[in-house]
Amino acid sequence: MKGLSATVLYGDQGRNGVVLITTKSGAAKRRPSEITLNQSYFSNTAASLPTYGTVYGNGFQQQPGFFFSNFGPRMDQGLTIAHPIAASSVANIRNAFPQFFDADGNPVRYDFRAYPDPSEVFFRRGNIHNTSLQMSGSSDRTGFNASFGYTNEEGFIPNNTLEKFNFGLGVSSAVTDRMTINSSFTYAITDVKSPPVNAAFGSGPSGGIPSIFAHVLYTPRSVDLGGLPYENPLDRSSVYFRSGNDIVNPLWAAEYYRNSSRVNRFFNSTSLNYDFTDNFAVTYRLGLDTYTENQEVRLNRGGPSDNANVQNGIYRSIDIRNTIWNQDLVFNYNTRFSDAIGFSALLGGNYRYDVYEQNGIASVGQLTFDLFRHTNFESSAARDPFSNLPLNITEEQRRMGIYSQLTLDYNDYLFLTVLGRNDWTSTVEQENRRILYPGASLSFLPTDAFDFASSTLNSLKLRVGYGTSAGFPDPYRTRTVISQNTRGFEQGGNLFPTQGLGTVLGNPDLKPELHEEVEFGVEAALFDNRLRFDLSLYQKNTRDLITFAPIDPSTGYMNTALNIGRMRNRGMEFQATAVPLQTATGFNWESIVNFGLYRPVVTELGGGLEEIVVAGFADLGNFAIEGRPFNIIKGTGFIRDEQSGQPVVLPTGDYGTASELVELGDPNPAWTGSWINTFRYKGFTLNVMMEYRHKGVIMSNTVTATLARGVTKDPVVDREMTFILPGVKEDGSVNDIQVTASNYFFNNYHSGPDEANVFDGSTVRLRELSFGYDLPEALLGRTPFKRASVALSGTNLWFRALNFPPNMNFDTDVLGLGVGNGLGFDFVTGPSSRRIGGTLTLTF
Amino acid sequence: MKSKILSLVMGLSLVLVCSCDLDLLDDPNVPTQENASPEFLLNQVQVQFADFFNTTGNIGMRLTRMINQPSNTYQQAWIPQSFNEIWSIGYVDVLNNIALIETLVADSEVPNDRHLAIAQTLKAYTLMTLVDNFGDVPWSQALDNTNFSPQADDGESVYQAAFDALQIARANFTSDLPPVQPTDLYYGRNYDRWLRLVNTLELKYHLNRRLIDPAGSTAAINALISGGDLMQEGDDFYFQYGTSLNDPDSRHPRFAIDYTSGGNDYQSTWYMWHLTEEGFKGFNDPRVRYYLYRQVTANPTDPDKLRCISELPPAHYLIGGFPFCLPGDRGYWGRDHLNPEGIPPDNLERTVWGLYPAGGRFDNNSASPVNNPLLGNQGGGIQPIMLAAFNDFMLSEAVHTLGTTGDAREYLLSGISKHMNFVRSWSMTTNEADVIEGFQTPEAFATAVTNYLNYVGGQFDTAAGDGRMRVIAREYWLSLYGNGIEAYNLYRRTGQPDNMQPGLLPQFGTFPRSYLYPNNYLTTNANASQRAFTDRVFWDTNAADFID
Repeated sequence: MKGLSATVLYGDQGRNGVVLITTKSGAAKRRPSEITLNQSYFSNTAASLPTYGTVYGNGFQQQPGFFFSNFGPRMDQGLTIAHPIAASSVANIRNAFPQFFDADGNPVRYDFRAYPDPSEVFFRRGNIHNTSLQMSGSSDRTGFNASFGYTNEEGFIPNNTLEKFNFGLGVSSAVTDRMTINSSFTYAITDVKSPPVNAAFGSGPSGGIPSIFAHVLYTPRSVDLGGLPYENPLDRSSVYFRSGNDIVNPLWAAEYYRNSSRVNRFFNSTSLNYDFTDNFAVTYRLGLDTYTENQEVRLNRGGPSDNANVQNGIYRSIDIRNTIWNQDLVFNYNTRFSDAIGFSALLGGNYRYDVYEQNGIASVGQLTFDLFRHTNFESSAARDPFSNLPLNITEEQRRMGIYSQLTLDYNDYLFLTVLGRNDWTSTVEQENRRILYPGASLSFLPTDAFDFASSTLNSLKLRVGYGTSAGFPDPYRTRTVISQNTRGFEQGGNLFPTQGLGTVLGNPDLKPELHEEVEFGVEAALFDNRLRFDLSLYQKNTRDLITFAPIDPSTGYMNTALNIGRMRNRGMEFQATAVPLQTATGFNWESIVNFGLYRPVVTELGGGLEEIVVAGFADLGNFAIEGRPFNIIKGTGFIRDEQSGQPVVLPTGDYGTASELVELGDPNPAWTGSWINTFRYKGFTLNVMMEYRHKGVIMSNTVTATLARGVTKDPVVDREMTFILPGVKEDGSVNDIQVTASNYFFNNYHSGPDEANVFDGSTVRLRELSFGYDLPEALLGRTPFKRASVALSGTNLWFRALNFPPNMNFDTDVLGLGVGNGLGFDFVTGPSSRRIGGTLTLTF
Repeated sequence: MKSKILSLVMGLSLVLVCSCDLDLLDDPNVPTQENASPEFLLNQVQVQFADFFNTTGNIGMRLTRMINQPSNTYQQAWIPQSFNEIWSIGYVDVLNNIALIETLVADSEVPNDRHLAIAQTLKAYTLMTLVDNFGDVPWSQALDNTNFSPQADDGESVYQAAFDALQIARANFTSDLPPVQPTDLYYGRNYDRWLRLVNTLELKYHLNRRLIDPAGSTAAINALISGGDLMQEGDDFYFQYGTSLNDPDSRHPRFAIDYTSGGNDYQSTWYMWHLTEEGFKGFNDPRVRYYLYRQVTANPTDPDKLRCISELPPAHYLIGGFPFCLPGDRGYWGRDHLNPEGIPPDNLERTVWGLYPAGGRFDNNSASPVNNPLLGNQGGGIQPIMLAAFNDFMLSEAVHTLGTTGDAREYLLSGISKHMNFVRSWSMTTNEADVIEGFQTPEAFATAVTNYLNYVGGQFDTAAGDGRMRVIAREYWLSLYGNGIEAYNLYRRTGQPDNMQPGLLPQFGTFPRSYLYPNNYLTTNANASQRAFTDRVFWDTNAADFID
């Protein structure tokens, strides 16, 4: 449910849409039991790795050298260099590998040629198995449903696994003639292990905190990642080609760095329904969603990093318990005022309580290798060594709400619904605690009203709706706190505690934000229901947007939560389903088209602010700027000539970076569409799904990490020649300064402004292709199976980002800033996944 | 009907039978403001003040060629984002907490005079530094929760506010000793030293104002000199770091950068040329082995390692006779001014920060890689904020330019010797004491100092007018290693030491006479408008373009 007019009753939790999942509780009529077994297998491979080059090797300016970059000489000249491990500046490494020295004590020669690239050596095919079993049945009064599932997934990088067990049971019972009970329980255990992933900008992971993708993507082509030893036999530390050994070997990192998360989740929803009369009923619903999670970060010592703690080994374990209680009490009444007019009413109350508790310890300084107990580390603390934030936190919040809905229907072709909800929340001060948000919707079926349904126009429905919703701030934003550190500073062996005013100014006047939406929709079925479409147009305004805004530090604080700003989002969504071909022999071709577009604009910021960083960093991120599309990306840009607008080339031959940030582009796609075709014939089904995304820029550091380093197939031709950047010189004349290939690509894609790494994200994609077969009843008659089907499918099979450099194979689905408002960034997020496999379904 | 209403009432009351407490507004994880204590707040202020000094001085050191300056031109190197941290540490971490201390002390029945005095001294230095770098800054309207767009005050009035803060500090240092005394991370509760520091800060204040008010400055400085209570040898005001690596990380930030996986910053070829025998002096500065640590003692010979050794210097370098690429051939490995190149894998070969002031290794020709945080003094370095030697250099400049009482030559030489003795004596308190003593006996050091003083004294005697100022400023600059704030002020105030190594490009932009306003101020404050590099702070009346 997307429109606010539908989700008002769900309160602020529903303001971004509601997905209603009905778990099977079983039917209330007598049915024979049924068991369904699903078994599937898929292969999991990396779908968006660049095509690596095979001509040039490690070095810079066409000379060999152990750089990060790959702008060295050609690899087909039979060149040999001193073996990288024997040529290391680190004595510890030289001494550990005597096999790389010859009889005179000189390093052996190492072939400077093209070795297998990371896509073959590092990335691999993972296997995904999923088994699930469902049973359901019912007697006269009671139905049940039980499910068991097991999933085992391997990622496309080493040591990345997910294992999940889930178990569910649902019961629906008519206890008496008037009272029914529905209850469903789900229990799931999920265990994920992975090497760490962190943001990177093309020169290694951010802040020295390891990321498995940070270095591996630009492995120089003349470095034998698969063949060189990666572990020092003496102290088990990481060994790699750089003479200063300042990059962690990706294979070592995959083996000895691990993040894990184990979640035990229990979910229950129980409702009791009592019918007072045929018209009047009351329902009480109780939901409990609780999980415990154990998160660990295990970093063995011996991996080079800018962060000394990472080098010495870190073990961080965090235990989390999160519980959500939700209760609803709802009264339902329905009646008919006359034959034509029906009426139903609903009055309900809701109470929700969220509590999050977290405890953790972080230890640094590992003694015995690969032993992760806090007692094996030199010092432990209740603070995270990276961010210095405390690991022991609790957070709780409460919501209470009362809601009501009235529905009138006239002759089943005119429906009017009026609804409203009033909430109280615990995250704002008392004066601002209450907010009322109403909604209304009207739908009309002219074909039924005026009875002109025909075989051309089978049905038509018009609907218009107005809905509102609220958003509440995160807890604890209204009062300034004191931040304290008992171990603030050490001098001469003595510890000094420190206290300081928190850097977030509490805002006692903070209020909830209000969303309002108007939606207009048309649904129709035409041509004997062979063509059905659904069009909706909407405009959503958000007022008093809660923004965590930076403020001038000269006020004494860095940030505060404010209600400022207005945002407007206009959009359209269209879906059409057609059956172009349907024959008597049973062939059926169904085609579905989806189209959507939206335009978010910041109409007002207020509060003296010109722009706010919504996600990202102060000098590169998504911004909210008055009058501009929401989330517009700003970053560093080229110095441009005032008259011609061309980028200016400095006397060094490279572009210059302008001192003010510039707008780099709008990451919101102009429109997105998909086209699904399903062909059915006698039990066979072929399903093809294509997608297209138009525009929406992406700022990609994967380009910075690979193209700018010269490892992909792109910057290959004529590297021995000189290049001239397009643009003008400082005096305005056309640029004619020649630069080397290394300078052209490295200086301008990597060290240059962010503008060079921003690309239009238009993408064509073959999202899914599947082919299935349902065994015919005749065949199954002699087997214990009631139904059987098998299907082969693949997802993310092919895509092309139309405006990215060709050999990047970039997948524009990346979400570098995670789930939130950020959009359009890739901070070496890692490749996307392609899955190919099959599923077998049997029903007994 | 009755049963229906009853059910309705019961039902609704069920909803209300809950813990209806909606007052969940105090964050349960941290103390509330009622629990703030001036003692712990002052600890935070003292630590953050050192951080403020370090962050602000970083830019000044690069502009005055004390350490390397990357990028092509000044405009490209320093964009508004570069100054964000100075602004935020200064206002949020230092000044806002000092304001809270002032409020708590005023409201408290228990006297906290010394807490207030230390806070006011640090506040004065912070305000003066903000003005020295940004010109007009918000002060009278700043630190007010209700005003999100404070107006910038004229630099001179903020300077006056700093001066007033020093007077309050003096009063609170000389009042009756209260029973509760603060933790003092600088002077260990020696309040006589604090008083002398306050006087020397007044000297700094007046010296900075000498271009706009020569008469007033002369009178005030003479009064300070005759008062006889300026900083003496042993009164050095510096922040001493610890050696704890984690929780808390209390090491000198420059040590943490260079000694984790090898050098992560470059030294300046120009500065190293001055410190070594390759310079015009022909002999080493006695402090060079304390300042710098060489990871190799011979220059690289392979152009793949360092491309510039096989290149010709740019034309303007040849004409000016500037050293290019490396200062000599004994392994002092740094970069030229405004060098924009990427970073080759020389982190275990380039020259890094040594024992003074970063707490690293003493250079006894051991020439080994520094990717180990247990080396040297393990990060227990100092921030040399206001040393007794600087006091003498300032007086030497005052005598030479204003004609205050005293002898410029005497102050110059005493400044140099005080600084050299301080470097040696502080270094002897570190873990490297045995290494130092083994390499150079105290007598050998004293001889080297005497020879140096004789040489500089001779240079001073043969120079005249501006030439003498050049000698004073050059020696002051060489003593300011680790202090970018005074170096930047010195260069703008006197124009000396002049004839500095230019950037690699023939046109390398205009020298910033002040900083740009930071991005986090411009985009959030409705009353903010950007300034230009060429804008001068209120006390700088020198001509445009007189320094580069």
